[in-house]
Amino acid sequence: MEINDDSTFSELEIDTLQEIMNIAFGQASADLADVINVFIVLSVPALKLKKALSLLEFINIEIGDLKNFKIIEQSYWGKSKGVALLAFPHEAELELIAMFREDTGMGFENNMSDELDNEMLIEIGNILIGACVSKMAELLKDVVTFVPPRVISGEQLSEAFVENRFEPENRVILLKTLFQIEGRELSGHLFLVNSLDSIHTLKDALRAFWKQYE
Amino acid sequence: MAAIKKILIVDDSTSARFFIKGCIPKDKGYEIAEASDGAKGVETYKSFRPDVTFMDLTMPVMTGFEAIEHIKAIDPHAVIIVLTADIQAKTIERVTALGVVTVLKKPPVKASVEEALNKIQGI
Repeated sequence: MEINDDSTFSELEIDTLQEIMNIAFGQASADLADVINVFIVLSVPALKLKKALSLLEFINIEIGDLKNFKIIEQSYWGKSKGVALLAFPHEAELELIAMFREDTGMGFENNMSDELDNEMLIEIGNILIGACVSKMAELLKDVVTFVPPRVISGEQLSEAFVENRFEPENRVILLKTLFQIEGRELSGHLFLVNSLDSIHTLKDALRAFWKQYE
Repeated sequence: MAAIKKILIVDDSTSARFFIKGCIPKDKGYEIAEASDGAKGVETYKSFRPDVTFMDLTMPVMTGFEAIEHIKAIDPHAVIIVLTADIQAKTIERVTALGVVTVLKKPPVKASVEEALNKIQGI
């Protein structure tokens, strides 16, 4: 494998990271499909390198109007620190909660409330984010520790949110994938944003991954 | 079936194609062709006429599901192994119904790939 040893990634490294996310999100989708009776249509993940400062603008363009989204946010750290953002448009979020309630029986004993809805979203986030990030870490021989997830509105995803996690002027690596629930107008986005503090460690991990197949 | 001579790998990821090639035994003299999406996979199938095709499912231009249907329409006896990250039970049911031989999950593992190829050859 040709490795580009400077502070950016070669096309092949990008392709490998996208493939690793594809594998990891495939696992996460299967885990969710085991819990709620759905078929998740996957798409090809993409990787972007962005200045932390421009992250929100990029996400806003990618998903449309951020204000109309509910976001499950979960920070994690391993060899590098990162944050996962699982974003659903408001209508999709309500439908997903209804499906989750129907298939798991969760929440029937209680009146519907925002708090309960958030709990269900957190549960969905735990499945999708946890399985995806853990699988990526496993493939790259890393171990990650998670901060408990929380639900925020798109409006809360402010510049301060970014600045509290990343140096605004530093670049971050952003992996994104779009997924849809078959037969319903329901789609969501998963963004994994990682600092580039340990880019060389990541390159070493990619090299080791390739080595298995040489 | 008779001995495998030609293998087609259909996957949009260069890395994924490299990984599967790394799992195919090198001492058997297989001739290998590659295609980077489902549509190219169908075209390559027509010209290359592989004995076995490894097919990804999540691809741009034409998905693996569609490519399998096209290939099966051209050649109902086509031997297709799905190699995918999409391991939902419904996915496996659907591609099995389309007539694929087996489904392997990504990332590929040498032992599983060899076992699948050996089974196809009736070893």
